Amino acid sequence: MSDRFHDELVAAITSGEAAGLEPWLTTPAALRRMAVYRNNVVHGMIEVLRAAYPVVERLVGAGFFAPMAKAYWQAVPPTDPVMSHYGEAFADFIDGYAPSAGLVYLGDVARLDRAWLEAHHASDEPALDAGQLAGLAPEALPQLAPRLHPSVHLCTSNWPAYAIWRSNRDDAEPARVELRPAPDHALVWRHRGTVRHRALSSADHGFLAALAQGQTLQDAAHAAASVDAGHNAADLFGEALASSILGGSRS
Amino acid sequence: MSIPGTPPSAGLGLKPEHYRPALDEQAAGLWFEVHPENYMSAGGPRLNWLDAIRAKAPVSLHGVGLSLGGLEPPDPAHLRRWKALLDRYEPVRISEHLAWSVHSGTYFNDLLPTPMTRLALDRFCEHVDAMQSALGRSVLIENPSRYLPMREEIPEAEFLAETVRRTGCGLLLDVNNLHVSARNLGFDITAWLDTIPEDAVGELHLAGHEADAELGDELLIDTHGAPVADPVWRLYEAVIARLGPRPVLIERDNNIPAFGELLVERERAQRVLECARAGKSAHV
Repeated sequence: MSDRFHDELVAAITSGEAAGLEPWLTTPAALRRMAVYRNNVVHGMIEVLRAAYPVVERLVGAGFFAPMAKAYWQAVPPTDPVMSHYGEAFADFIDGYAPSAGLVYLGDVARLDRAWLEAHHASDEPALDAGQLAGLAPEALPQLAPRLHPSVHLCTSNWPAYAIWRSNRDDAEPARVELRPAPDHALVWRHRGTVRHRALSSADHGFLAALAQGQTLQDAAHAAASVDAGHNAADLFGEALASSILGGSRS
Repeated sequence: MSIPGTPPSAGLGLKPEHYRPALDEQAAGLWFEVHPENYMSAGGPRLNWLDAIRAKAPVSLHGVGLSLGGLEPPDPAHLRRWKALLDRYEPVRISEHLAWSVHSGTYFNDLLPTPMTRLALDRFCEHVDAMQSALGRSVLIENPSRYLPMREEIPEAEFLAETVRRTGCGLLLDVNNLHVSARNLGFDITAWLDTIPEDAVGELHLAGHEADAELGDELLIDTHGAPVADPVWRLYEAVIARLGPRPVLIERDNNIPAFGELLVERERAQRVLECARAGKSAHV
């Protein structure tokens, strides 16, 4: 018996076409049992995505979510048995998924679900805290270029994606959200073992995005001030130090 | 293959929704099993929960992603992630399946059937060797739950016995899988048990199954979504009467109930071991 069995079983799982398996079976009547494997795999993949994208599922409902997840699995099957890594491109897929085109914010909501998952599983490397800066000469601080901690995700949308996402997390009571295009920024990160999130002003976002690009605190403050002349970078920096938003410094 | 100096006892598959009660539970001999694939993240609270639980109870790692029964050798990158978990959690036992889940680089989220052929046996033994060499310790191989009646060159029990002989691995006897497979394929359980090397059995699994939604009792599905069924409890008692006490695990991966419900099943499994040790037959 050749190795073709594996190819034929994979074909039966992905396409539902099981006839090629017949030579390996003791009876053709057993072909109908093939559905077990196909159902296990398809159902399993939908469950993985459902668990990873709870707000997307809540917004569209299980009946809409399942075929969308199945279509994603068919387009981008997993290559890694670690299921927490699966679904990385789901938001991009949703952006091009015709049946949900009317929900213009759905892809960005998926990005927030993804940010939550990645923050949850991100590295435990120590965050930068105020104590580590205590010995620094005052004139050296503006030249410091702290990275963002690996758990930190900056999420941006042209729609009120964060307000929609936040009011549909867990069992939150959905809030009324006015749907019109406007810049929308949010921060998702993990602090003391718990994933947190909050809205960011455009200037806050500018400050943190500059640090993410490797800029110094001074340049990041300038970036924020160019968005909002009254922005208080010192307050945001203090909050970032106190809540595990910054990682080690680039040296 | 139990911890030296401690008698074999019953454990529970650990689910994230049960971390707190699992950590607080004081039952003697309780141990936990996890899928390493669920702990292969850079960091985060899951890993810390497992650290805390491991500090007070033995933990075993039960892999689902190495695809030892496939055409391709186990992925070296996946073996390195395994090794990192061994170093961190020092599991009391490690196990994988006679099954495959990777083909041409694509992962299938299921345990797919390996043909029972001589060629497949040679390849499977090479893959078990590769896993044991990379991890530096012996692995237990679990018998599959089978649905398709396939032409075979080697019956399943002989396939497993030969794998033990060639690789020095042990066996994880999944009692539910044995029941489900024997029912689905119509093989004789006594002959199966006569064939496998009894001393190699280092762990047992107990789980629930359900009749197929379309085909009914013709096809039992290993769903891990229901309590352990009565015929599986009876088979478990018979296996323990035959092999003597072995570490046993209650597995539940779907329709997960409250922790206390799983503890009741775990207590029942534990009583069977204690009766066997006392030389009495169990009445559970």
